[in-house]
Amino acid sequence: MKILCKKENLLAGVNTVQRAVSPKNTLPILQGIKLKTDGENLWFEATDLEIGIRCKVPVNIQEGGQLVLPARLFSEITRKLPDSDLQIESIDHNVKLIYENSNFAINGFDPEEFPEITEISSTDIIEIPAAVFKNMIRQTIFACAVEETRPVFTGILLQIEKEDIYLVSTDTHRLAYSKAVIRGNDKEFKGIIPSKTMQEIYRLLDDNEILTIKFSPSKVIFHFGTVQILTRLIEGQFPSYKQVIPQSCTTKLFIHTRRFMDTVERASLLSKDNYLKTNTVRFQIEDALIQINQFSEMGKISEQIEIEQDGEDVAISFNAKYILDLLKVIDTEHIIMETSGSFSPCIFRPENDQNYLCLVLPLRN
Amino acid sequence: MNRRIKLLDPHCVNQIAAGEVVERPLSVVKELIENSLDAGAKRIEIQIEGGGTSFIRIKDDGSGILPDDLPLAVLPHATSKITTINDLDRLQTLGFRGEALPSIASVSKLNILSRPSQEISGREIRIEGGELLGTSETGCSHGTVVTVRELFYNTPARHKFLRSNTTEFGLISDMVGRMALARPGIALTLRHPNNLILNTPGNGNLLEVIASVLGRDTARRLIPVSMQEEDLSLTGYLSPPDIIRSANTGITFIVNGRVIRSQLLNLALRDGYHTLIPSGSNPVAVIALTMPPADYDVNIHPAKLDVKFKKEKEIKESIAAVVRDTLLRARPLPNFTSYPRKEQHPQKEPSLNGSEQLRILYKEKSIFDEEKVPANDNVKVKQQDPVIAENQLSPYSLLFEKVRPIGQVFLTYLLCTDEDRLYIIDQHAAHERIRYEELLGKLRQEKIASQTLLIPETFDLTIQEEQVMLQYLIELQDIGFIAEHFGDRTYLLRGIPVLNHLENPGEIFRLFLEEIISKSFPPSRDQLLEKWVFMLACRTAIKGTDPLSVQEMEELIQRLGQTSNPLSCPHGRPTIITISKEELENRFYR
Ligand SMILES: Nc1ncnc2c1ncn2[C@@H]1O[C@H](COP(=O)(O)OP(=O)(O)OP(=O)(O)O)[C@@H](O)[C@H]1O
Ligand SMILES: [Mg+2]
Repeated sequence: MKILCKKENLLAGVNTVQRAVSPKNTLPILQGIKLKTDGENLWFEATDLEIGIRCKVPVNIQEGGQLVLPARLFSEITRKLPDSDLQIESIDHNVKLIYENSNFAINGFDPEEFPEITEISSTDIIEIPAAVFKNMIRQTIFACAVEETRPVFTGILLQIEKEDIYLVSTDTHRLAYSKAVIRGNDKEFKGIIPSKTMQEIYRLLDDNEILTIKFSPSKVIFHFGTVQILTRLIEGQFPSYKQVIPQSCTTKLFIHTRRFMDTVERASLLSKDNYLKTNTVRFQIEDALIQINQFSEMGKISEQIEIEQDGEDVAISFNAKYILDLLKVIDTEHIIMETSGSFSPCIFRPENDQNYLCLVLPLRN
Repeated sequence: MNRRIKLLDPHCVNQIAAGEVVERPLSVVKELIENSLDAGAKRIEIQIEGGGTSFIRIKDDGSGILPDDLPLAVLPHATSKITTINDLDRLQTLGFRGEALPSIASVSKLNILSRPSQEISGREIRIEGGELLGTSETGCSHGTVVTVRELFYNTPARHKFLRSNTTEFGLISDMVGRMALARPGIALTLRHPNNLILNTPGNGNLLEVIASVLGRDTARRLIPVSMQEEDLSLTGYLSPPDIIRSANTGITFIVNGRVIRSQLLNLALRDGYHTLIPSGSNPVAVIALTMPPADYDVNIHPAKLDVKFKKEKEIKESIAAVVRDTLLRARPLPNFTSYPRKEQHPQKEPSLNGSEQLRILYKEKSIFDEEKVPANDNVKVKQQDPVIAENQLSPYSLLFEKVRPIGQVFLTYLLCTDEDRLYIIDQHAAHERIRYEELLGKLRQEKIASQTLLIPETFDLTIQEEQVMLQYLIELQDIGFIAEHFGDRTYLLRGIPVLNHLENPGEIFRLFLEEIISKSFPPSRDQLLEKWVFMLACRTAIKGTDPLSVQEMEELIQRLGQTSNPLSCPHGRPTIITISKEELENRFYR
């Protein structure tokens, strides 16, 4: 193989695929990045068998071929190269980067050993504006579980039902649900996407692009721009979320988002250094006011926020982090909070928007 | 065809019963010593040949058996010790079942020679496999000699289950040693066959018996423990935390002069030593309880080794408390010279769940090799050791006030002095101990709220687990677990404790149930959340490579001094070692 390119071409490719490189070293080949020529393009590929990322970069190809380079070394040397014209040559598995009057040789892996990041033959395809999907990821990904004990909760459910597409995530303490419309679709799909995949899509997706999602029962491919992300699905049954979202409530509040967030942030300062306990915030809701009266060994806070209240008075406690997480992803000026008593799940949603909600389970003393 | 039901003949009945009482040579020796003790003997001589299967002889200077009673002694259910079952509540003797001699008689060749002191001559009785062969008058010293030959000669199946002679004798010597510990007022000798294996003075001094049984070096380091409550008194000795063994062979429990096995007392001891020694290791301890016979039941198994206490919880708690208090009051300081070689230190900070790893390190320490020898091999008359023990039981509370830091070495250890001694403190271990006690103190006070769950975890419980869970529902709620019945024996975990970084709460919930089932007590909060507190303490403690200013060192020393146990980190590793001025002077030949 022999190609001519610029440092920025290489850097773009490496940066795109790098996070798919396996952090574990069980299979050495998976710590490599594969380069492969195709017409006028050079494909970059990396995979940890769970997620695979490919992207193509235009280069000047003198002689076609493929090679696999150790990712860490390749990405570091690429970053440190001068901004000059480059030439990449390979003989067998030995690769030479030629720049200015110098060269850097790297011992590569056997490209035949590199797992194929296969296309899906399925014709089940939908298209969705990138900005919409990115926002859906942003509004749900924070509710995924970090712990690996129950794998289904570490991913985001992707559900496609005729003209509706849903993303849902839960760590069993809270649930985030986001919905959008895709006109003219008649396909159906349901699968749990690892949150790492979603993170990569979010990172690489450009707001102005159109995202294409191609799905089969065990794999999903996301296409956008010059990038393809192939992902395995998390096995297992995602809980039937529709049943756990309450359909009615006894208290409904209309709250100024910014003010609410500032108050909760201030209240949680008091329990910030408590190593033992998760920081708790307690809302006393009565007479169109939310009152917070809290103390710890560090100090005391008492605040009240005026709200619009519909329904019964209630006192309810939450993990303050969960409230802040959701307030950060709701962009409307006001939010709606719906609850049915101190111990039942509480719904938060943006005003005038039926497509998003976040459910938080209260604490019980 | 139906088999007819018929009564077994008495001989057969005895052989079946014998299976329970006389399991192996050890059981014979134990029963016979108990009979001698019950007869008020002051001297008991034991002689064993061939691991006990070929020959056992127990000679005592007790009350003897009246000539007319001698044939009765070997009849089943014949005893001089109780007349009604209510007598058990006042029981002063070790025996009461009237089963030992007939059981032994039915599976061996037995000879009993006895003379009460008021009789002129003794009487001898010979029995083989339960058959009375004859009796005769002979002259002899007062007391009783029981000889058992060819044990299990007529029950080959039982014989087959015996281990090697060495092993069987090991078990015997272990038991004899324990019985000697239980009766320091009795002079006991054990010969095998003619070597003197054990010889206790019988002068009532328990420490001297411990020296004979467990070794003089160990005895010298032990800390006396005692307690007096209304219906329970305790005396005994405990090892300081730097003497540990991998097996529990150094632990003897005694109730009213009877050697017993007790899971409960083991737990109490373990609680007392908690975090003072690495988990999984064992201390050396002799603990003798005195309490009204009505407060416990020994009639659980014919071997009379297990007891059931009436007030289990109280006993366990008071023993754990007195053990802990005693150890902390004594505060033996690990001596610098105790660790002469480098590889004996657990070098590295264990990973977060490293107590396992640490335990292995401790096990491999050669410093404890001598202690690790099972008690039965240790049962021999030890030579007088020329090394003079240092008095390491100095009162400790004042010490930390005077200790001042000199500097930090390897960014890990603080060198300090109080002008008498040089101290070396492991900064991470010390801070871990401080953090551990702070966190534990808070954890005990705090009410733990519950994070309710949207999608509950389901649990299928066994009948036993279900019973336990229902019984302890309130306790579970107190630590934040909300369980709800779902159907059959399936339960939903609806709420989990609101604690930072608590991993896998479902597992802790199960652990709670399992602990109760295996130990019949609910684990305390600290026990249940131990791993988590360890993890937090370790995470929030200063690291082994943090540079410290003088003020920080002073602060650390002062706070360490305020902890209940400044000498070991929560994993049982030492936090501080010391070398005295004299020691240094010796080293430099001044
Ligand atoms: N060494 C001895 N000195 C004096 N009396 C003895 C001795 N050994 C046995 N006896 C008498 O023989 C009786 C029967 O002994 P045996 O051991 O069979 O029963 P026990 O001790 O009464 O009850 P257990 O079966 O619980 O040991 C005793 O009650 C005691 O009176
Ligand atoms: Mg007896």
